Amino acid sequence: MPSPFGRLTPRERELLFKLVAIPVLALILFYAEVWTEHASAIMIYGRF
Amino acid sequence: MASTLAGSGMVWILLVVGAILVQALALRDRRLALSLVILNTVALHWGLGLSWPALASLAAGLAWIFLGLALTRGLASRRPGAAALIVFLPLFSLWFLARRVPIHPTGGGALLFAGASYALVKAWTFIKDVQDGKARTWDSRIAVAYFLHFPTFQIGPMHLYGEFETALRSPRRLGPGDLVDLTYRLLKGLVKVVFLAPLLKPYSLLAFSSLAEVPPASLPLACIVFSLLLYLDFSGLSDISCALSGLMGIAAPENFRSPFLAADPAEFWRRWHMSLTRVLTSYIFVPLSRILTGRMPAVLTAALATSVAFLLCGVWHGAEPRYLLWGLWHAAGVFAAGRMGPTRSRSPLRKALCVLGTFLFVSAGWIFFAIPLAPPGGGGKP
Repeated sequence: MPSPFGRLTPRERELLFKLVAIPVLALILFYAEVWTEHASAIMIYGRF
Repeated sequence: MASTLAGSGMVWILLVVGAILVQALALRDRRLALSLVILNTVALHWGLGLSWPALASLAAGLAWIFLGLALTRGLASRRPGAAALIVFLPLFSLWFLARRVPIHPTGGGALLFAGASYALVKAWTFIKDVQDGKARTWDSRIAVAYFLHFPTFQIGPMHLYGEFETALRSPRRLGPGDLVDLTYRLLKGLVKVVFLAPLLKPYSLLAFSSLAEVPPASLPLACIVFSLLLYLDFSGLSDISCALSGLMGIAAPENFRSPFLAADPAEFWRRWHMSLTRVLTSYIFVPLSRILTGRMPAVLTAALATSVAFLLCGVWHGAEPRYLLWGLWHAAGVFAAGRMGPTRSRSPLRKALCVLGTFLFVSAGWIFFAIPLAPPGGGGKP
């Protein structure tokens, strides 16, 4: 059975991947504040 | 500042909405640069938390640049390098002295805003470009917008004035695909900074308050993990900056290109913090090499110009001797790589060994960079 995504161009596939990834990343971010100290290490230097 | 940058979801939502608003307004408002100046000031103060004294010191710096450029116009036509230094050195001196003042809300440290180091580098490239004639027709409103551009203000990537002006005069109209790309990049950057990098912190050099506290057996792993942490953190912040700038229709230069695939230290710097590397190369190394060429043997010219560029790179990262050591470490690596020539081996094993060796070289260099060599008040270096 041919893949439903078989006719997509590489750009369309990339956009589809990103559209799926966006809510996943948002979900990770939603919970990240619980899991980590969420402080940027580079800003520890703080005087840039 | 860290919590402002990465901790508050509300701040990010406001910044994204602000960026889209700026994009919408900028494309319609004929007084493009002026609207950007106002909106960037609002974003810097209420979004990124720059105090009014800090903004005032930034404004004073800009006023000096404009005044200095006007005063040295005659000299610039005869001796552009000297004219550029006359305008820049007072800024550099004040920045250097201010970095040594402890941060206190009511003290002098409050005048040194987060992002001052990036503004300083942009000041040098801008002044040099104007004095050299590359940006002869600069516009003061666009220059202010250039220095205040909030998406890249605190952590880069740093535009050159010419590319910023070009982007500003023809801002890109965003299509649906662009919005997907930029939203994905923004979230990817946030996940790197807020989630992935902090997970590595307990295993990195940042788990210790000084190098003297790191058990020798843990040191190699702590350095390697710090490399990965810093990459995730810094490239994540660059992703965020590029995405926000893109949402405003102003493309930002890229800062990273798979740096840990570099086969020698010179290639590493062509892939790591690229917007700084081009400044070190084009605005310090090349002019200095031109001055030194003919006055000493070529090998000494290369060694001296490389050392000066990386020592300045070290000073820029911090006003402590350990940053100078870190700069010298990389200067030695880049100079040695230059003497040995590019890695052209077709052997995959040899290439892999070069990549691994470069990664270990870079990771070892963080010993000087990441944490103090000795505990505060704990005596000399180990």
